[in-house]
Amino acid sequence: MLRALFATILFAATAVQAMEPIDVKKTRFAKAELTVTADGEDQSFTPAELEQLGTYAMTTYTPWRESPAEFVGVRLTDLLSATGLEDVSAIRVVAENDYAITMERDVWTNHDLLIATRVDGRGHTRRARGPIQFVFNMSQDPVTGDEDFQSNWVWMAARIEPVE
Amino acid sequence: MQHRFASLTFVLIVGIVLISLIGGSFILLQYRALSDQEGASKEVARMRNGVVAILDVVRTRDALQEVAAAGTLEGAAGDELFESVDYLFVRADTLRQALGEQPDEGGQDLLARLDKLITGVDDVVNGSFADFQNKQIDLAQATQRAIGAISNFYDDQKQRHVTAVVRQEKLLQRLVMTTIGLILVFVAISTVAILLWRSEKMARIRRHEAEIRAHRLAYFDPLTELPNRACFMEQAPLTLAENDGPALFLIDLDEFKGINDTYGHHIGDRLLNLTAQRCQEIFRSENGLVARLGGDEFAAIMPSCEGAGCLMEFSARLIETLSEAIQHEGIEVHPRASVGIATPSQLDGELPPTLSTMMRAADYALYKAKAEGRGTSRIYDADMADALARRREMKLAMPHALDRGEFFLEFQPQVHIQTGELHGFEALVRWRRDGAIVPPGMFIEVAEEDGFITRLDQWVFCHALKEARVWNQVSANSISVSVNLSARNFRTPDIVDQIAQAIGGSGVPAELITLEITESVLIDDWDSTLAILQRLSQIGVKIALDDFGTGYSSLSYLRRLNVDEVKIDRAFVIDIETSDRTRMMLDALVDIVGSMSMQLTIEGIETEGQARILSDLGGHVGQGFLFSRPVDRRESLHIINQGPHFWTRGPKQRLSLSA
Repeated sequence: MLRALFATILFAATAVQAMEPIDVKKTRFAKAELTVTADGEDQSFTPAELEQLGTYAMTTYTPWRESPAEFVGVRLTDLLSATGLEDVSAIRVVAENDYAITMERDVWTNHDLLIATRVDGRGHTRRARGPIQFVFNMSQDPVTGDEDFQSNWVWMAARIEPVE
Repeated sequence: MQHRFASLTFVLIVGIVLISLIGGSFILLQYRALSDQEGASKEVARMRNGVVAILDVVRTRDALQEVAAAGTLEGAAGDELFESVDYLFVRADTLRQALGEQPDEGGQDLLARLDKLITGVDDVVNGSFADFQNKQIDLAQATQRAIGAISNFYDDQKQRHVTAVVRQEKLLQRLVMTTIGLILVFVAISTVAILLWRSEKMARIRRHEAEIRAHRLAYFDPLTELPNRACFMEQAPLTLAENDGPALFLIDLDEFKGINDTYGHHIGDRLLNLTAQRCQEIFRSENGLVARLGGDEFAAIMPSCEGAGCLMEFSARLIETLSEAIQHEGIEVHPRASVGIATPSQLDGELPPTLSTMMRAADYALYKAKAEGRGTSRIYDADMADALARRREMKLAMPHALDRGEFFLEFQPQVHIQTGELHGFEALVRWRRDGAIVPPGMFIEVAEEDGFITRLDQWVFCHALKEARVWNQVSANSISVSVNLSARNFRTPDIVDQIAQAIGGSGVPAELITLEITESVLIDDWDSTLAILQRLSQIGVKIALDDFGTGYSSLSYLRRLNVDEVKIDRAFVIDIETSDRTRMMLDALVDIVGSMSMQLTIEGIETEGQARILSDLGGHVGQGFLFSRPVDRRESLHIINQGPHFWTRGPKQRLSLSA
């Protein structure tokens, strides 16, 4: 009896603790969009819209990570096909901070290139070089980690334009 | 010399190895130093990050100011602050990685300032505006300090970059200079090595050429370019040993000295050259070995020739080839060669078939060939070996024979053909040995060869004079005496004095004495022979040219020699009864000799017919079995005692000689 009472009290105590209100803290998510310019027209994709093109996952190191992470995202080739740019010889990729590079076709035909929107199952953050990041399979394809190749790892990607 | 080059080569190789090691290590070190200068590119990356970081900080500062102006953290200004601090966070993270695990002081300061700013903004961005306002001054200060730190960091990186670039340039320069220097050193060493190698090669070539020249001089005859005697003596035993049934040839040009003296050495040399060529051609086709042993003597080995028939055929071809006339400078010479051949089978175990025995045998065969008329060949055989032994033995025996009185004289009467009167006697030497008469042709030949002939001639001369004195004492008419004088005597310096002395002591008038000489006296030394003949004429003795017509330039000698008598060989007499040609020739000779006031003596008259013809032709003096065989001194006295008339023309008119 006593033991039953004791157990009830203990259960009640636990229940009381679980029922306490959580500390709600205001938080912000970065807005992100990848705009693709094709035939003079812009098409913008949010990470969710990008994911509609079909997602892939790869687990790899990056030049900035000490342990591998699982990246999920859409393949650049799929995005280019969806926007009618599958045949371009090069593209110009611009980041939110106006960092820009010209990427030759060889880069995405010779290497697996994922436009990652999630890392380790969570949405990609700007502080983790998201929210939209060009990721290569560095674990399988070490050349992509070379210093002179690192310029292709565009983070905070914002725009893609074909290069004539 | 070779040693010096070897050591130089060794030094060069060691030098090249050392320089390669030192130079290679130096270049490797510099290359590694250059590779270690990664800073240059890293600093550029850091500088870029620095620039971007300033922009990010400025953006954050602007966002802070906008929030302050807006008076709220909600809305666009708050979103901008939120976004800008995200950028700053990523920038700080990137810089942290770029600076590595142990950043320097400036780097640490920079990271600390950025972290402080980020933390400050993070603290307020989701809070209330009042909190923001409280911290606004701190945030402005943090912003300012962050910009200052970035600025310092940028300057520092720029300085490092410049230093690194300068150092890289220097390293690169040194690397290039070292490489060029090393290449130059290699080129220099290679040049020296090539020059040394070349000079050593040239020296080796010169040495080799000198050796070849020396070898040629030692082993080849410079005139004919044939192997010389030394070479032959070295090669021949091998050739003899290596082949079955070889044959050794000794080849000798007949009368070469005469040709040399008559036409000059250039013709002689030309003949030798041509003979060498001909020998070589003919023996080359048989894979033979040819050499010039010296003078006009050649030797050859034919590796294989079965049977004497083959050898005779081959040697006949050889002699024929060597006898072909040569034309040189308008002069035509008809050489002749004699060949002596020896084969191991012909030695037949009697002699061991070494080169020297083969040479001796071939030499003897050559001697026989020459003795038997020249221009022919002989193969050495056992008979020759016997003859050789006999000759040797005879040679040794002759001096003792003279002392023991084994030599004696016989006298063959000489008759005036026209009158039948006795003209005189030819003294002939005989050798009775162990009760038998040695054929004169045999021992005189040996005596000639040996030189003993001069002593024998002297003995004959003295004894003939003694007889002549007796003849002339008992005879009312003058009886002349003819004595043979060998060519060998013409090499004796005081021969004329010896003869004069002998004549003086004999009491025989010089004009009754005839010295018979043969053409062979004229071969050795023409001038001195002529001088001796002239002095003999002055003494008063008569000179007869014996065996006229058997040599090969008899008429030429006749033209140049001042002789008193010409003795025609028996060969001209044998067919005088049957051959018109011989008769015509003798007729002409009688004319020639007569018109030159010389006496013509004909030898070997054996028949009345011959005597009649010779008498009709006008011959002067005759000698032969028709008149008398050679007789001893007693018989000669008997003949003289019979009176001056010795022979009457007609059948069986000869005086009977009773003992």
